[in-house]
Amino acid sequence: MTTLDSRDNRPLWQRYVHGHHWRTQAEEFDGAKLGFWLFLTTEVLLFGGIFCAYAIFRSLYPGAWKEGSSLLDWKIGGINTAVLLISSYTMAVSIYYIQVGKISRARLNLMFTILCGALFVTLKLLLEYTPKWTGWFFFMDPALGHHSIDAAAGNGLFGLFRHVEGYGGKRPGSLYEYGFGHDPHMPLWWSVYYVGTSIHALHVIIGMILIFRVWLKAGKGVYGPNYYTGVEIAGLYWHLVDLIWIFLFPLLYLIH
Amino acid sequence: MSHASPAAFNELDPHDASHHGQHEHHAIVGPFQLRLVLVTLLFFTFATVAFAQIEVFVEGLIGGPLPWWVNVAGAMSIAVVKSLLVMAIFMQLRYDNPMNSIIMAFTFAALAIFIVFTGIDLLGRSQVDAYKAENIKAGGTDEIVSKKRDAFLAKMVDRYGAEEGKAKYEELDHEFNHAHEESAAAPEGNTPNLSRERVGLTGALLEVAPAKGEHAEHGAAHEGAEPGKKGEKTNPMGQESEGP
Repeated sequence: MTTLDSRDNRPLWQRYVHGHHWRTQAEEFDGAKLGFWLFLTTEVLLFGGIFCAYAIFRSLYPGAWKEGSSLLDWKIGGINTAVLLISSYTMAVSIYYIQVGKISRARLNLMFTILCGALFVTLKLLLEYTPKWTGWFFFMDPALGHHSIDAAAGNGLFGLFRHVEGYGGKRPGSLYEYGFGHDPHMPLWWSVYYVGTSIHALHVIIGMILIFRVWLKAGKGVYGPNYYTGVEIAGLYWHLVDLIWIFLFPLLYLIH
Repeated sequence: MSHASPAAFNELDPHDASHHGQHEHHAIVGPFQLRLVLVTLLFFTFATVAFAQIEVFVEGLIGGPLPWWVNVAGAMSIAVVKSLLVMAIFMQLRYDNPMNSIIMAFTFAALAIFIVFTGIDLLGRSQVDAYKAENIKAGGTDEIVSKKRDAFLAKMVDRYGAEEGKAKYEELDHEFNHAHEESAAAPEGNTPNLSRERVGLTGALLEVAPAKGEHAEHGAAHEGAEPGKKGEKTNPMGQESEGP
């Protein structure tokens, strides 16, 4: 924004003036998007390394991948997939509402997107990482019904967690402590699993922060039909996170 | 709705200067189309899960594993369709300056080259390194997993006594590895030998992978046959008692 007239009562987005080095505002918008797509290519290559490791090690050690995948619950992965897809929709539709000037509906959808991201990360940490790493289950975890609780260990964290003896220790590399693994390359599988999903979860958290920033700025009237570059860019980031998960989910949870 | 079907990109007038002023021309993808895409994506998610279940069912019917590529092709083709939908509609590549799509296409091409060449190297090593046959211990040592298993068994024995501890260990082993029908099928042949039989660093050198115990015997017999050895008996313990 270049000049702001203090007597001007129009919302901020109506007063937006594009940078003077662009011929038109549309050109500025396209330039911003082009730059962000270039950034997204680096993201694709970042995850590409992980997918490459997955492909090579799966070819070399199919037994470990088969056994490791059988220890993951596709239902949690499936729910998380649906959560991310729905959040992608609300993100896209919030851009539409900004474009047609319905700012409060757009903010509602943005907040819903953030909550979906929070749900995704919570499910991952609470139902997947914590039990697999430590053997402690959240007391409402449906999977707890399949196991006998280790009563001697007591209840962790104000009774919120229950311990299952021998379940934990499914950790990457040299941290591997699981007592019932069969394939010698199980630590490698867990390395790929944790690196892939945790870097993805980190992206979900970053995306939530970006969308929250957009939500705040939209509340101040920064975005509207005339100017919504920030919303569009945050949306692109969020969709990429979704895109990565579309591949991670079948590769990790559904192989056998 | 006037914006229901956004116009395609016009190369001769990329910023639509002839029509509108500032921002009008940018694609506005309506909620109906977005909802349609969402439903399609959710359906494909369901389909990919269903495909995996059907595979397990078919494997049960024919009593053996399907070719490895069925699993990969099924999951990946659906994922590719889903990702194309997300990129085309949600990320608006369909209505954008085509430069963005070209950039993305080149990125995926680069990624494919990266993965294929890594594969050519790592997956072809068993053939290239055939001359190293005598220096490599087939299939690795299985040390990490077997040590953890032994340690946990010892812990159980220590805590519950010899027989009860062993029983407890086997009970937990069953609970974690065979409790579900799907995973009950998985450990079939899923021993430390599974990786070596099919591929692996020295896989191509062995027509039939040796079982775990056979390594020591094979090695002892091999040494016993060396011309410099004095003892002609094949007693493996004899080697240690012999002096130089």
